[in-house]
Amino acid sequence: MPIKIKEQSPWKSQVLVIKALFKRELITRFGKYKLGAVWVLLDPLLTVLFLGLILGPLLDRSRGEIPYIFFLLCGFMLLKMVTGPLNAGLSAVSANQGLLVFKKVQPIDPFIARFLFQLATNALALVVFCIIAYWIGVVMSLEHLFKAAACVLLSWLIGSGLGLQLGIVCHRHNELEKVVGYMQRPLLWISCVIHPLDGVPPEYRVYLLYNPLVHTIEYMRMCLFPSYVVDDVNLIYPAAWALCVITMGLITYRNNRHFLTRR
Amino acid sequence: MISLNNVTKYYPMRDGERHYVLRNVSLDIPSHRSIAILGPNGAGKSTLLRLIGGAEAPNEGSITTEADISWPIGLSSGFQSSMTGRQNINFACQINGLSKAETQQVIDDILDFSELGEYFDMPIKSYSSGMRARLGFGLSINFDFDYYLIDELTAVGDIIFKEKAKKEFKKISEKSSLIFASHSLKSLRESCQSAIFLHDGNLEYFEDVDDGIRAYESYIEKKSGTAPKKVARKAAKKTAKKAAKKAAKKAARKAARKAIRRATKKATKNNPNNKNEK
Repeated sequence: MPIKIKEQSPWKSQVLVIKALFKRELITRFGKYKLGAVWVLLDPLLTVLFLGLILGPLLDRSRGEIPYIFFLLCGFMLLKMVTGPLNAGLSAVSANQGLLVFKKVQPIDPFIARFLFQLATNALALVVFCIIAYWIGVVMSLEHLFKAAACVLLSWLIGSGLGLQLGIVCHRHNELEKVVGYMQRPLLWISCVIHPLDGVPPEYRVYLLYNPLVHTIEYMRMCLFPSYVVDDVNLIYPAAWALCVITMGLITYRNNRHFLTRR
Repeated sequence: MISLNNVTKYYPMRDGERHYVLRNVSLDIPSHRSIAILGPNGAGKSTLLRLIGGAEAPNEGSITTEADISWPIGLSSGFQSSMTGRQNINFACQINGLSKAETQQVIDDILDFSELGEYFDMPIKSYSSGMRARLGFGLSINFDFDYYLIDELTAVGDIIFKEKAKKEFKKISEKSSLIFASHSLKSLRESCQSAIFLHDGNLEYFEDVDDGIRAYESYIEKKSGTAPKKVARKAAKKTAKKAAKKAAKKAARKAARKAIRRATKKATKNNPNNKNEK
């Protein structure tokens, strides 16, 4: 007997779609690897280990009492919170084109699912690394946990806004995808991922502070490690950024909604 | 009923011009009738189905309905190619809010209908187009819709699938309607009562599917009134004339023979009859 589809409230229906798409991400992301979801941890860990081994001896001029690896890890995970959703957004539409025939799946849904997926996996990795650090005996404070979470969320929101906007624009103009790839390269160097802000000469610090990532990354370190002190950074600036890029992303989406469903 | 209210749909082309699929079209599609969608290649039959199914939105105007409408069921419908058949079915069941038991029931039924066997757990990208069609159609008939949008589905299937599909179409048209786009006029005639003819941004509705097909055919004839066709028509006329002549000759001969027979009969009848009467 054919099954009658039950009418659902818009919210419930939206949740169902996002859940299904999230599962689809899980399947296609980890299904092909033997180690599966372990790569969520392994991927950043290996990158940071290599970076740390190369850069550690060069840059390690006492940063409070934080081991350089954890200093790096903290920055790198927040960087991933931006670049993760950004790159996931670039292929969100084309990878889910087949599923857009369902009326319930609107083009923004794969974006949302992918962004949430990035948030979930990267936040999980971050938590695990924090636990490891605590366990090893790095001096950490849980006093400003909410502020630290705000840093993570703001970075993610900025990445999601950019991912939505650039994903749509790159879907329209394929060449831009390459450009976006190149633009991400210097992010590692200008976002205070591998060095602290006060390691930069004061006359150049002003320019670096235009980068919202500098704020979230340095603020996060300040929150987690009590011995680490930075001036000049705040959360208002990255919050404004997040608001702007998300608004722009939604406007871009609204303007291109006919184009996105097109095959 | 599905109402199209001043619907306009266009696609921007490379040179900045717009290609109109529908231009300010209003039409009420009645319920409980299976409807054939006719139109030349590229006229926008698939787009019309996607609009009705809600996969795309019109640029202007609106499409309103109270009915449950399926997604367009076609060759590339509703599947993510790196997921397996089973995962795709799970996805479709999940977004529609089916319980685990219901999903299992759907999967069992699809396995039975599609005869995919081991391929059910292989990625869709390894499927042939016929297998995709079987999976897609098998999925959709497990849901109870008022309208089933079929997009060229049977064109790729083998004989077994075509027979199965025909049976299912019959079952569907007992309670629901088909909206069926195809180039196979035969299968359209078989499963539809009415027709919509789509051409040059317009929709024409025909109560009787045969009228629609006739309009479509005459449109095609008008459009493709080219030289080779004319030659063919001339040749056809010649052979027709010849055949007519032959037939005329035959008829004449027959008539002559009949006349002779009648005359002789009359002659033989007349003589004895006259005698008897008297």
